[in-house]
Amino acid sequence: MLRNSVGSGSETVDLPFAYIDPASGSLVIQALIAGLIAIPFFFRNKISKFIRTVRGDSSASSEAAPGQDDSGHTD
Amino acid sequence: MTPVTRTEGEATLADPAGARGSRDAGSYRDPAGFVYRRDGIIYRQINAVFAEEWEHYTHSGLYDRLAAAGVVIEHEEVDLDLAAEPPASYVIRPEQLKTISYPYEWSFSQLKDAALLTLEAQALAAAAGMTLRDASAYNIQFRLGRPVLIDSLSFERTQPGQPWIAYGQFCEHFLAPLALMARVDVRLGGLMRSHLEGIPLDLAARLLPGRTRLSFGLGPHLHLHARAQRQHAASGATAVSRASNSMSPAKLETLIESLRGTIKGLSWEPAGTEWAEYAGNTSYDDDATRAKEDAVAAALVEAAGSSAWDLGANTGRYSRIAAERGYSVVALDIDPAAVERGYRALRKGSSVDILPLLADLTDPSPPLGWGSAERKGLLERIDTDVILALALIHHLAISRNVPLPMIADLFAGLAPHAIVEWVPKEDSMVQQLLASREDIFPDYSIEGFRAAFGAHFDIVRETPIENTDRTLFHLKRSA
Repeated sequence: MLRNSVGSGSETVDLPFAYIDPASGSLVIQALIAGLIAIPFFFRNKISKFIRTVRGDSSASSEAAPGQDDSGHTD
Repeated sequence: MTPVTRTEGEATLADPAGARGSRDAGSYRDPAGFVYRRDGIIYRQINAVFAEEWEHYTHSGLYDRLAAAGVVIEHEEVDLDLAAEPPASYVIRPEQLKTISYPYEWSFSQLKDAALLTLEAQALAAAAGMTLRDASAYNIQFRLGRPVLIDSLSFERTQPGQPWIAYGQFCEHFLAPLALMARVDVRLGGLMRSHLEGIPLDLAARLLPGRTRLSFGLGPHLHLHARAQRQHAASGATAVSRASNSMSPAKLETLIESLRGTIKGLSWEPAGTEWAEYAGNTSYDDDATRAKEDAVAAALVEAAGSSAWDLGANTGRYSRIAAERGYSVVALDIDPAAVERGYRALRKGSSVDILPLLADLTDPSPPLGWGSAERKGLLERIDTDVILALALIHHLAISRNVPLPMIADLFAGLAPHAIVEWVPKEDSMVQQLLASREDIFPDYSIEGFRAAFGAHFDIVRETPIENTDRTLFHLKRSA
């Protein structure tokens, strides 16, 4: 089976079938970004829940799935 | 002008007889397999090295789920004898698509939908313990007005902890161009033609307004990402090995969901480009429009074809008339707003066989990539029965100074039938075009039109359109 290894000795990393060139930076930064984003996501869900409770919304049963409601994105 | 392309049956190193099929010129990067053509049919072979992954893909039910959701193109497995080169483990025959198109020919929403589809594929794959090996925009094609993933070999089993290999490519192929089109200018989509490997993130970061650094989506995925790429360019193995256990399934899901939210948050409204107000500003009243629609419909029926290219389709009114009469249609227009509107209108209803594409007939996409053959030129891809050229001739002949004989020449090379609307100089639209310029067009007349087109075509029918000074010609290429 074809396996691509990057690095040497004890620092070998298996990137099977990574035929495209994933820039090192793109691999390294993901965990940081996922960590950064998890915080506002976590709070945004808590905040929307809180706001709905305060408003006494009867339609509050629909919980926005993470990422689907883009009201937090002003892009 | 003819590009160097592989013709079927041409000898190759691995296949001296050339009979086993000729590889698609763009399908060389991936050791897992490739696409080839044999006896006029497109196949994909799965190489032995990838057999296990393929088996997992099909046996785990992921393929079935993706196919049922309309995410991936359907295929059937065929005889291994049909393989093009050894060592192949499987050969599949995917559903054949009539017209191939490329991201630089798509409207904003077409690219956006392609991006969202890619993320949906990744999300479904992750749920099945698999992941996308690549996230190239060229893995997507349009079928019956909707995007579909055509690279069946994209999926491999996840290595727990591994970061998403395709993250950089996704941001370069999808996020960067969409952000530039939405936040700077829609015309920046043209950068995709000169960056087949995706828009470099540092370039996108530089072109985007500074305040995007503060946005929840573009901040991390574009700006921070660009900086990380720059900083780690020389780091190589050490950095990568440190990242090797960094992404849990939960983190991966967060990453994908965040990308989805970011893409969804990018929008572009098609107002204010040149043709946006066109529909309300023409030489046509309601009766005239109806008369033209009837004449075009009659010509389409008379031509009895199954496929049509609508040149200068605007928002696709006449493409729809063709589609309703059983035609498979490609609707070309030079204006991003028109293509965008056309695509959005299609998206609303049930699937219609119309493919809106962005194209400039005076500069159609050329062949690109390695050997100038990976991505075929637009004209090469036109394989059709009928050309529609409605409300177009004057834009080519007057605005772009293309002599009528050259237009006739081009049309004759594209299809056996042409349905062309003749727009005379007296027409108000032409007068508008001539308002600020010298009339250097002595040959622009209906006699000139008949002479130019008569060189290649016979006139099947000539129908003056009531309440206008225009004439609809149904032309058939002379034997």
